[in-house]
Amino acid sequence: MPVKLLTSKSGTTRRQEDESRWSKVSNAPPAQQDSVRTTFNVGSSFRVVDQHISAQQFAYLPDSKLIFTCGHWDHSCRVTAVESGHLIQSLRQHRDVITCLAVAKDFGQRWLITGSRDCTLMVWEINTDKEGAMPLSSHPLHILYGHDDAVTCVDINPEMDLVVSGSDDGTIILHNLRDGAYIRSIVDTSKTYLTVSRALATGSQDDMMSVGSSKYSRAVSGGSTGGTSTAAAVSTQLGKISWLCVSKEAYIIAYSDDDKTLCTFSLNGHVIAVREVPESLYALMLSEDGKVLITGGSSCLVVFRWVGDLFDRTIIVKCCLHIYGSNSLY
Amino acid sequence: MQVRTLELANDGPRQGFEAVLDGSMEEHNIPAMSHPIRSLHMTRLERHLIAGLESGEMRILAQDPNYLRQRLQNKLIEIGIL
Repeated sequence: MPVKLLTSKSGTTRRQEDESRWSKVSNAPPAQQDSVRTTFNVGSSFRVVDQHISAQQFAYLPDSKLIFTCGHWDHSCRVTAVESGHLIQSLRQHRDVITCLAVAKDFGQRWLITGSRDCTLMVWEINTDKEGAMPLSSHPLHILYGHDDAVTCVDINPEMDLVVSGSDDGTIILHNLRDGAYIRSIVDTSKTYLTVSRALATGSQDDMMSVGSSKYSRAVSGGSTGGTSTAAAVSTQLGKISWLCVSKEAYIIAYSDDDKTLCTFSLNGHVIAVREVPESLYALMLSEDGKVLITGGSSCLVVFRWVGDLFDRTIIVKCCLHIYGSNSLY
Repeated sequence: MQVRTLELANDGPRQGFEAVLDGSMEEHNIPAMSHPIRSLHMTRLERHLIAGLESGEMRILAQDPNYLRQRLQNKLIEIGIL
């Protein structure tokens, strides 16, 4: 059976890229190493912070006091007991490093979703009822496909039976949680949305001509009729999805670190709101009611934002005009 | 019509609250957070917001106790106890 290696545009495999990156870290002069690893002097001891570690690689299940971790070199997902600190289980089913995971529970059922650089996600059922049994079964309930590049982030809404995942290919894919069925793909068109907003704000005829508001509105709403030139333009502008949240009302909030934009989508893939942020975001979470997005990032500030509510595209555009007309950073 | 556009949440139900927090408290001589925020966690009933900083420091931000008292009082009034 032929094995297809995942290759980058330069023709190198992802593993080769990784090895090259790590060799750069170990051999490069300190000035270059700082771009990958950051050293802090905390008290009298030095600590090295890996820029690749994020809160998306840990999940805590409070009622069973278990921590699920990923990002391990052996492509495993590990389960650790909080009280004893002992490793309970290590599972290797993915074919590349697991980049993100999420846990959810609903009426006594609990699930773990893992997303990997092998472009797939796996749904695991967590079972901690049986004494002495492993919390995860040896095989996943479902394997979710659809991404063309590494999965970077995942979130679950068990009430809506929804798994939302983001990828380096710039797409967000929705699956059913319980049966693993594919629902739809959402293309992150936030950059185009911002281009339109800017064009309207600045009155740039070129930008407006190149995008075209009617074509644009069909393209961002996922319509299949018309808008082919805009859709083509969109496909060349995709930013990697760095972080995802899905609210109780099933609003999907995506953050792309490439262009530093936050974007709210409806369940149907419609763009509700787009905001450019003046910093790199490293942590995103929603309030309990799902109406407020809380972010933290490189500017050392905690910022609260409204997620989304009743939707009217014309008003949104006016708001964007107002936002870009003002000098406010946030 | 109410429209939310990822704007700062300092109006409507959150009127009077700060939408950008730097973690500083002048009366307790607590300086602003000086390292990037790497993780956020909200405790049950949104009592505390825990921010993990890149330096290894952890900041726990609490709600204004007057707000919590007011919220409890409003709920008691709503259900007819007060």
